[in-house]
Amino acid sequence: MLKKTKKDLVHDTDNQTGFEEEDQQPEVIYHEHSHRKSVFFGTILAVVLAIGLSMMSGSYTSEGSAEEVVANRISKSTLAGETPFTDETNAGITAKDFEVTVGDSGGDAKMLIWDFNSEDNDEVQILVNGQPLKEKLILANNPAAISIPVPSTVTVKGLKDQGGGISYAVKFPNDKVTYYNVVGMNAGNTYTVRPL
Amino acid sequence: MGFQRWLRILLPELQLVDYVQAKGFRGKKQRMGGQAQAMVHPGALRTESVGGSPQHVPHSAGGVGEVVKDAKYGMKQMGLNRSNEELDTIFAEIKKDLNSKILRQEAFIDELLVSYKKAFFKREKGKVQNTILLAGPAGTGKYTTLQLLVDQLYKKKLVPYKRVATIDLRNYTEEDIHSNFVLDCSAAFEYGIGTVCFIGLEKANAEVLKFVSRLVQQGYFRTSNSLMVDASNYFLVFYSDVDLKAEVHGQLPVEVANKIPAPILKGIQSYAISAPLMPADVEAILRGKLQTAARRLESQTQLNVSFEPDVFTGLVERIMVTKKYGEAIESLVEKDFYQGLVDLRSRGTLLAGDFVQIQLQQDDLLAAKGQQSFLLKSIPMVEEEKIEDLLEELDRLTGLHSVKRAIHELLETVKAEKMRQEAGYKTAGKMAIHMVFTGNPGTGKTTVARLVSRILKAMGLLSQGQLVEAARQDLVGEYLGSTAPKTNAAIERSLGGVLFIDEAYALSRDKQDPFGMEAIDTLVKGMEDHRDNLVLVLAGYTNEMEDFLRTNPGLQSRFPYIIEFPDYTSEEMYEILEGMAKAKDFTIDRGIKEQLLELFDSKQISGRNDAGNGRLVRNMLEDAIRKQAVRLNQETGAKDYKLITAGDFGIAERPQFELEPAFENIIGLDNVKDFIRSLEKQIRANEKRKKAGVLTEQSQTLNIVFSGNPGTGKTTMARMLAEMLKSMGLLKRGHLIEVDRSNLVAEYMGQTAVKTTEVVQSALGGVLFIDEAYSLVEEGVQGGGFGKEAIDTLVRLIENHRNDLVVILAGYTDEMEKFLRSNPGLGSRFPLKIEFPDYTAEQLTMITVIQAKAKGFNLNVDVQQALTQFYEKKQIPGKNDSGNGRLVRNTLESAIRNQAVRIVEAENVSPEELNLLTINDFGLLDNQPKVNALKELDAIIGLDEVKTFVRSLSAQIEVANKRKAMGLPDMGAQSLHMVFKGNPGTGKTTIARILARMLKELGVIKLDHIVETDRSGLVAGYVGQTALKTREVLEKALGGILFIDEAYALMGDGQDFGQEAIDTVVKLMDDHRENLIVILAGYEEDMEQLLDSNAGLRSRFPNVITFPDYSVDELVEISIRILKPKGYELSPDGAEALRGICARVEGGASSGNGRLARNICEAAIRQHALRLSEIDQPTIEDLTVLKREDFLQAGGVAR
Amino acid sequence: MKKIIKFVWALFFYIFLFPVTILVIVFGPLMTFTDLLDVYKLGAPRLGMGLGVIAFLGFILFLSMKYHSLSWIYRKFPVLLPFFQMCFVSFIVMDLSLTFANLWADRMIIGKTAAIGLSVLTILVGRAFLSYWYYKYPISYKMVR
Repeated sequence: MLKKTKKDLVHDTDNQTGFEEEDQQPEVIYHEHSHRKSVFFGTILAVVLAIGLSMMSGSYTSEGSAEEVVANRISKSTLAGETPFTDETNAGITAKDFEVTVGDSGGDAKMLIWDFNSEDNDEVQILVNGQPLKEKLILANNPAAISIPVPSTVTVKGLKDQGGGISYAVKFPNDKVTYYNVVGMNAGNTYTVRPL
Repeated sequence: MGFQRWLRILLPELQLVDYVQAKGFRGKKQRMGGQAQAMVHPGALRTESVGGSPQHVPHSAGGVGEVVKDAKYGMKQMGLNRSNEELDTIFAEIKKDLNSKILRQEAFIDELLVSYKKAFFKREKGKVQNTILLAGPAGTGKYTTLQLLVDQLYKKKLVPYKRVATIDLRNYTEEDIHSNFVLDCSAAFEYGIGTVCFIGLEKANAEVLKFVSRLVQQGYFRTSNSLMVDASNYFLVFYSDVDLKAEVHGQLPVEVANKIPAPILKGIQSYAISAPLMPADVEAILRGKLQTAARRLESQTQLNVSFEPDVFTGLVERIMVTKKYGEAIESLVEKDFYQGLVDLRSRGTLLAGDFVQIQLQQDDLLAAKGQQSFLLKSIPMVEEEKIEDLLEELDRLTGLHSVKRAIHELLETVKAEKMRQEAGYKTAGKMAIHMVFTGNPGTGKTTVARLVSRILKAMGLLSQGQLVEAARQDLVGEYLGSTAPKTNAAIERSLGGVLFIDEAYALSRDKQDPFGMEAIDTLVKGMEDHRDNLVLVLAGYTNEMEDFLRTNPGLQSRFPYIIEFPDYTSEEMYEILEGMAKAKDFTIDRGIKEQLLELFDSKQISGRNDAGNGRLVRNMLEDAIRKQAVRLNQETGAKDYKLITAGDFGIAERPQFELEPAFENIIGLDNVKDFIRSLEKQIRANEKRKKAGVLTEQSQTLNIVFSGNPGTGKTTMARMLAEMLKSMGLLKRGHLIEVDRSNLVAEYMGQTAVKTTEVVQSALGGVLFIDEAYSLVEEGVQGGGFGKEAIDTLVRLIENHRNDLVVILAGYTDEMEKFLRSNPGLGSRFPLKIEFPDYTAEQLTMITVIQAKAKGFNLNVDVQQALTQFYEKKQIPGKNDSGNGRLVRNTLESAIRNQAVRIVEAENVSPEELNLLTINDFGLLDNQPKVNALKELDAIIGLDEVKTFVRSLSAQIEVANKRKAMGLPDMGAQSLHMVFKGNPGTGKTTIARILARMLKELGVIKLDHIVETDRSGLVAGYVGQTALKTREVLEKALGGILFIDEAYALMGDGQDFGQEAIDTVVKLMDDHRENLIVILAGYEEDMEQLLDSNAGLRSRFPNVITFPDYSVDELVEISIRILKPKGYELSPDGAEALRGICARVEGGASSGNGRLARNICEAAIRQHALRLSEIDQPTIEDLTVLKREDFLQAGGVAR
Repeated sequence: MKKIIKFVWALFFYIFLFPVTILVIVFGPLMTFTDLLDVYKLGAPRLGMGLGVIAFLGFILFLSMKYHSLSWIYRKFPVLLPFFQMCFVSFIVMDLSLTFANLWADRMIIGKTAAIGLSVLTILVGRAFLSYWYYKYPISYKMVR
C-alpha cells in the first residue's frame, strides 16, 4: 500500500510537472498519464520489432521499386500477397514458364498464388501433372495456398479475365522465390517443380 | 478478491464498461449530484478527487456501498428547498400534535422544535444539522417526544427516513470499541440523513467519549484502521436523565452541566430541558393512561373497569418516591394493571361483562369484584431508611460511647459535604471511610458494622449498602496464586457496600504465611481502586490488630477511623441483659440485680479477653431461659413464664466461706492458719470501710512462698486459700492451677515464654501454684537455661496481672531461698513466706485417724500409739522425702489393703470388724526383732572387744530410754562414729552390718540400711564434682550407717581429691550428727596415718575398734560355720588337712583371715564335686563328707 | 498567436491524422486476427499492417494524449483513452502474431506448429500485459482492494 501511495505521489508530481507544460489540466481519467506512457512504450516496441523482423526476413530495398521487381519476374524477397501495383498494370510482363527447384519439401510443396495488382477477380485453373487440382481459383490479393507434389508440373490456366489480363504471382515458400507471371485466357503457364 | 475482480483483471475491457457505467459515457454524469461527487470516490481508485471539491476528503473503505447509496441518496434529499412559510406552518402543526400527546412539557417541546426548525432554516448541507441535548428527570417523556417529532417530520416529508437510531454508549467496553461501536455508528449513519440519539453519556468509556466529541466538533471521526463515520446531514441528540428539582428556563442547569463530559458539552448547540412533573401532572398522566388501558381492556376482554377516586392519589404518591415518573407510570399501567387483569381474565376468575373496581388498600393494588378482591401488585411505601431512625437505633445500643461519637462525627462530615455540594462548591471528593474495629469478642463489632453499612447507605455514601462478611477462609486460596482472585471476588461482591473482615489479624498470624500476605496486598490495592464505592471494616483483638496493621505499611495510612470497643462494664452488661430479655419478652427478677452485677464482675477478667461480653450475656440469658423452662415444668400451679429468677441464673446463695470449719480438718500448720486469719481480718476491715463509704484500694500482692517438705499440705492449703480469696472477692474465679517445671519450660528456644504466658493466662482470676519451684533454676547449665527464661516471663506476668492473680511457689526450704535469690525481682514480688514444718508423729497419727474416718474406717485403740512410734521412726529430720502427709496416706492405703486381705481370708468376721484397722494391718509388729540382733552378735566367733563395746552401747541406750521414760532430761545422742582397724577378712563389714541392725533396734538410727563405699564411690574425676558425689552418697546413707572401706586410700598426697572427700564427710557428719553414723575401716597403720592427716578426724571418731587376726582354730571354726549351712560335713582327716592349711597361711599380712577360710571351703566343695562326678552312684554320705584329698587340692588353690 | 497556431494544428490533427489512426487502431486488431485465422486455416500468408506503420500510429496516439490541446477528445470522453490504449496494444500483438504466421506461411522459416505456438504465445503475452496493466492501474470502481 505504501509503495503505491509513494508512486501516486510521484504521479502527482509528474502531473504537476505535466501540468506546467499544459495549462493545469488535471488528469482526464485515472492513471491517464500512465496509460499514455504505455502507449509511448508500445510505439517504441513496435519500431524495435519492425526493425528486428525486417532484418530477419531479408533485405527489402535491394530489389528496387515495384516496376523493377515485377519486371525481373523472379524475386526473392517479396512477401506473398504483396501488391506492387495498385492498378491493373503488370509492368509489361508476358506469360512465361518457369523451372522451380524446391528444397527438402519431403514429397510435396506449397505454392502461393495471388493477384499482385488490383484485385479484378480473374479466375484461373490449377492443374498438376495435367490433372486439375483446382477447377477455379479466383485470384485475390490475399495469396491462396496450394500444396503440390514434388516433382511435378503445375499448370496455371487462365479461365476468366475481368480485364487487363490475368496477372498473378506465384511463390514457393520452400525456396522463398516469387515468380510474377501473366496468363492469357485458356492459356497456361507451367511450372516444373523439381526437388533440390 | 471475488469473481468480479478476477473478471475485471482478465478482461480489462470490462473495466471500461464499468467506468462508463460509473462515469457515464460522456463522463458528465457526476456533475449532476452536486457534492455527491465529493463523496463518490471509492477509496480503491486512490485518485485524489474529481470535480469541484478542492479539499481532500479521505475515502473510507466503504466506498463501494457509498457509491450505490449516493446514487439512491441523490434522489432523496433534505427537504431543504421548502420556503420558510411552509416550514412555519408545518412546525406549528407538529407542536400542536406533540402537545396533545405529551402532557405538561410545553417548554420542553418548544425548545426541541426550535432546535429542529433552526436547522431547516439554515439549509446547510454536508454538515451536522444540529446537536441537541435532551435532559431532565427520568420518565418525563423526553424520548417519546423525540420519536413523535421525527415521525411528524417524516409525515410532512421534511425528512426522508422515519427511523431514530439510538446508540447506548454504556455497553461499549475497552475491547469492543473499535469493532462494535464503530459498526453501530456506521449503521446508524448509514442513511445519510436522520436523527441519532446517544444514551448513557455519564457511564460511557473515555475512548468512546473521545470519538463522540470528535463527531460533534468535526462532523465525522476516523478510527485507527481508517474507518470513517460521517455525520453530515444528521441531527445528533444527547439524552441524559438528570434529577431536577425545579423547572429551569434559559440557562443550562448546574446538575446537567456536571453530568455531560466537557468536550461534548462544548459541541452542543441547543438543549431542551424537560420539567419535573408535579404530582398533579403525574396524576393527570396516570389517569389518562389508566383510562386508555381500561378502555383497551373493555374492548378486548369485555371487562368494565372502574377506579376508586383515592387510587390515583395513592399511586401518584408512590410513583413520586421512585422519581421515575413516566417510566414508573408506564410500568405500573402496562405490567401490573393491564397484565394483571388480563391474567385474571384468562384464568377465568373474572368473566366477560364483570364489573371490576380497582382499589388501593394500604400498600396493595386490588381488583375487587363484588366481595372477592385479587391482589394486582403490592407497592410498599418503603421509605429510604432515614438516617435519623438509624442513628436512634445506634444510640439504643448500650455503651460503646466512643463508637457512637465516631459515627456521629462521620455523619457530621458527610452532612457538611452534602451542604457544600448543594451550595455548588467543588465537592471535597470522596473521603475514604475505611474503619478498624478493635476490641474483645462480643463487644458488638459485627452489629455496629452492620448498622454502619445501613447508615452509610442512608447518607448516600454507598450505593447498595449491603454488608458482606468475610473471614480468613473466604479470602485465602488453597494454593499459591488462587488467593488474589478469591479476595477480588469478595471485594467485587461487596462493591457499593461494606466488606466486613472479622478476626482480620488471622490473615497475618505468622510471618511466613504467603497466602495471608497476598490477601492483604490484594485488599490494600482493592481499597485504593474502589475508594469511593467500598468501605472496608476490619475487626480483631486490640493488640493483634496493632501488629496486623504493621504487616503492610500501606494499611495504617488507609484506615482513618480506628475505633476501640471497650469491654462492657457490668452495669452495661446488665442493661444489655435487660434489653435482650425484654426483646424475648422475659422479665428479670428485680432483686437479683446485685448478684447479677457481681456475676458479671466475676466473669469480666481484665487480663483475659475470651469472656465474651455481649455474647456472654446472651449465652447466660439463654441458659437462664432453659433452666427456667426446666423449673417451670417441675413447678405446678400458676406458672409465671415471664419471670427469670436468680436460680435460673445459677447464682445459688453461695455459703459464706467460713474459715474455722475449713481449718478443723487441717492439723498443725498453725502459723499458716494464723496468717490466713490475719488476711481474712484485713479483708473484713476493708469491707467495713467500703460500707462506711471510705474507699480504699484494697488490692495488695498476695503472692506467697510455701517452703517445706513434700506432703506437708502445701497444695491442700493453696487450694483452700484460693477458695477463701474467691469468697472474699479478691479473686474472681478462685480456681487453682497446679503446675511444675515441666509445664512452664519448653524444649525449644523461645517456646518457654509462650508456654509460661499460656499457663499464666489460664490461671488468671485464680491461684497459680508452682510446685518444686526451685527446679526452675538449674545451676549446672550456664545462663540458667530455659528455666531462667520461664522465671523472667513469670516475673513480668506477675507484675502485669497483679490484682487478678495469686502465685504460690512451693519447694524445700533452702532450695527456695536459693531460688528466690536467682532473680532479683522474685524476692520483692513474693513478700509473704510461710514455712511448712514437718508433721510431728502425733500430728501424723491424728491425720491418719482423720483420713481413715474420712474413708469410713476407724482405728483400733492400740494402733494409734504404735502408729506414732512408726511415724517417729519414719520422720528423719533433715531427710526430707519421707513424705509427711503423703506418707500417712500411703500407710493408710496399705493398711486398708492388708485389712481387706485379712477380712476376706477370715470367715466369721463381725460387721464392725469390717472397717476396723488393726496394728498388723499397718504392719507395725515388726519392731520386736530387736532381741535377735544381740544373739547374732554372740554367734560371731572371736572379736570379743567389739562385742563388749556393742553391749555397752546398747546398755547405755536402754538406760537413756528408761531415763527419758522417767522424765529425766535426755542426755542427747552421743557421737557414735567409729573406726575399724584390722586386716582384711577379719569381719569388719559383717560386724558393721550387724551393728546397723543393732542400732536400728535400739532406735539410735532410723533405718537399718548400711551404705558401703570406698574411695572410688566418694572421689569424682573433676574438680568440684567430688563434693557433690560425696554429699549424694552421704544423703543416701542418712538415717543409717555409712561404711567407708579402705578409708586410708582417701588420704592420698594432698592435691588429689581424696582430701576434699574427707572434708565433705567431716562437714556432713557434723550437720547430721544424730541420724548418721560413719564407720571407717582399713589397716591398722594406714588408719593411724589417716587419722593423723586431718586434725578434726581423730576427735570425730572417738570409738576405735581393732580387729585381731583369727587364730587357726578360730579359722577352722569359721569354715565349719560356713560349711554347715551348705550341708557339708568335715571328715576328721579333712579337718586335719584344713588345720594344716590354716596353720601354714596364718600370720602372714595377706592371710585374708575369714575370707581365706571361705575361699578354702569353696575350693574344697568344687574338688569334692569333681571327685564325686567319677563315682556313678554316690551315697548320701559321699555327697556330704569332704575328704582329706579335697582339702589338699583346695589348699593349693587357696594359696 | 501561439494559441491560434495551436488551434489550427489541433484542427488539422483532428481532421486528418487522428480519425484514420483511430479507425486503424480500433479495427486493426480484429482484421489482423481474422487474417491470422485465415493464414492458419488456408495456409496462405496475409499481409499485416506492418509494425512500422503501427509504430507511426502509436506515435500519433501518444501525441493526442500528451498535448492538452490535442487531448480534447479525452476530456469529452475520458473512457476513450484507456480504450485506445487497449486497442493499440492489441493491434501490435496481433500484427506480430500475424508476422509469425507469415514466417511460416510465406517464408517457411519455421514450422507450422512453431508458428501457431508463437502466434498464440504472442497473443497471450499481449493479453497478459493488458490484464496486468489494468490490474496495476484499474479504472473500474469494482476493482476495489
